[in-house]
Amino acid sequence: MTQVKKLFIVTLVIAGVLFLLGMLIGFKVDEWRTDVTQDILEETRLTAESFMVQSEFSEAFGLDVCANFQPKLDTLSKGLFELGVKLEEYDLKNLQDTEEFQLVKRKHFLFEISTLTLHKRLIQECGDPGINIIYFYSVGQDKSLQQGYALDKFVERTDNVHVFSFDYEFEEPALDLIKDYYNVTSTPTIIFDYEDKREGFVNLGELVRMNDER
Amino acid sequence: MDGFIVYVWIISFVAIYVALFWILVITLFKLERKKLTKLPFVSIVIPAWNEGKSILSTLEYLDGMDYPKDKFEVIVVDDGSKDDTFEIAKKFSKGKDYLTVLKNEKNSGKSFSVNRALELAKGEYFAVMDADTIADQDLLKKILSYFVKDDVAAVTTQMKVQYADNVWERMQRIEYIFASYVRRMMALIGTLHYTNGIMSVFRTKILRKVGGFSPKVMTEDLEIAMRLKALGYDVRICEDGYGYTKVPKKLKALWRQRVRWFRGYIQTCLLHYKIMANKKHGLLGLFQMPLEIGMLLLMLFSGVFMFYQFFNWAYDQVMKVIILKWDIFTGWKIPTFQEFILGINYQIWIPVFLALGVGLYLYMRAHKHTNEKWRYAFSSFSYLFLYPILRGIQFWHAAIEEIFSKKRKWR
Repeated sequence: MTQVKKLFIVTLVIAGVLFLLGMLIGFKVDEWRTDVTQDILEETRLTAESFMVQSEFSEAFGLDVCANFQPKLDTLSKGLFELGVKLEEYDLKNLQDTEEFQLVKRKHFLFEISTLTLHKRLIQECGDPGINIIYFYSVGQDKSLQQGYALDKFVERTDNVHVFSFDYEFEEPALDLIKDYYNVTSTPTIIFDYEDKREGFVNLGELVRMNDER
Repeated sequence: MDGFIVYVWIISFVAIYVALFWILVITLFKLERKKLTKLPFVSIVIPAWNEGKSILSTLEYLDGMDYPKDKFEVIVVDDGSKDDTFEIAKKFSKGKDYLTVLKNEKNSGKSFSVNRALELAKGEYFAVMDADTIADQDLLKKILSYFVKDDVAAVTTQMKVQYADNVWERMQRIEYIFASYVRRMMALIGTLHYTNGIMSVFRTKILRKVGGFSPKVMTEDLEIAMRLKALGYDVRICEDGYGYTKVPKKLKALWRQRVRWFRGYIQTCLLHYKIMANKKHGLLGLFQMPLEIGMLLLMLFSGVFMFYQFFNWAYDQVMKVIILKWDIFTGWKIPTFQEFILGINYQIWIPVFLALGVGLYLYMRAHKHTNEKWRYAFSSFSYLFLYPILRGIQFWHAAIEEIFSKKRKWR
């Protein structure tokens, strides 16, 4: 009996060590994910800066600000969208909620907001640059997941769509500003072309119809 | 982390802990046995009901086994069979003094048949053997060598299946390999509370003293072992001898058998509930029984939980198909190695990989111990991943039947 009691303790230690090792591997993967998203963010940041510098330069030197505006915005918003998808996926799968990862998320949302602002400003100067969708989601929510599928499909089959997606629960004053401006109170919510707000799931057919009615 | 992930971590930790404990037990402990200086007289009872197809091979096995014919007797008790079991046994008994064939007037159950033979038994040891069983030639000698102390009241044997032709038999083959291995582990720490019907040997005096087999339960072999343990006797296993049994070929028969076993288990636990968490019964009361009951509850709970998870997943997939209008590959591309590694959900897969690793090690050890080869990949996969769900549902079925006291059947 005493020998078995000792075994119970030894087993607990071994099982604990095994789990700790497993968790360590998980934490390493979390770090790796943060590094990868940080790298993508850095690239996107450079693209955004380049875009803004070009705009400012064109404006300052009296060049045509609107020249090549569309493809550049496409590249930028596509990069931001893909990073957003990755961040949401990793957020669900990460073993721990690290400050570094939250910082990457914050930077990403801020980039999205500044790109969104730029998009809005350039519409006024250059005319219609395509469809803009602001999308608020909740991580791990079924309806948000389904809205994501519908938006993926819509982006795939429609030209010039810019989707700016935001985690509704993420704490960031700049995000609160948009939420207050559009009075967003639930998820999923989409704002189509800065005006048409839809709360709840919007299916693909409805998105196509909204696009046709523009 | 959501509830499902917490559940996966807890289940995996418990599984790994238990598996590691057993690995250490089997590595560090040894079963005691003695050298037989003289062979004792053994009474072997074969309770039989509608075993016309199997009984002859069992009798032939006993006739040819490695044990002197003047040192054993065989008592066949036909329990009111509707087939020719009695006639076959009677015909075989001609000219064989060691063989007695009895017939119950009506079908009265296995315990009645065994107890009837117990009254007549002349042996110092009393072996109970199913009518559809054969075994190693020297199994009886091997089993007797495990009666090392006076308080060892019973020694059971390890089990293998005779035929593994279809997926159900193959899954049971693996189940029997594991069950034998686990019972050996229990014997190593003195918590074995099972005897099987394939071939278990009892000290006749003790069996009579405790009142023989109980008619109150559906699994007499389990109940008698539990009762012996409750009364302070020891139950051992013969680790180097095997009995070979026929297992149900079809799901319906397998289901019926398992529901009966589970009901028997519930009945036995209720009869001997005082063992549970009782210090007096040592590791059996404080470790083995809580572990088994915990596992069963987990199985019940897991069935519901897994069904709920599966329903959620299926609903999500259906919604995805509807939303994407059947174009389910939207946005999908072949991931790079880095994307693949980073895309794995380690919240779930870390504990699952660890549990699978330890489980596979036990699987390997069990096969090695029983001299069985790794084969039947599909059945092995089904046994590991699908069979537990099936067992969960069977247990639900048994629990419901037991609650509503459905009539008990022999098989």
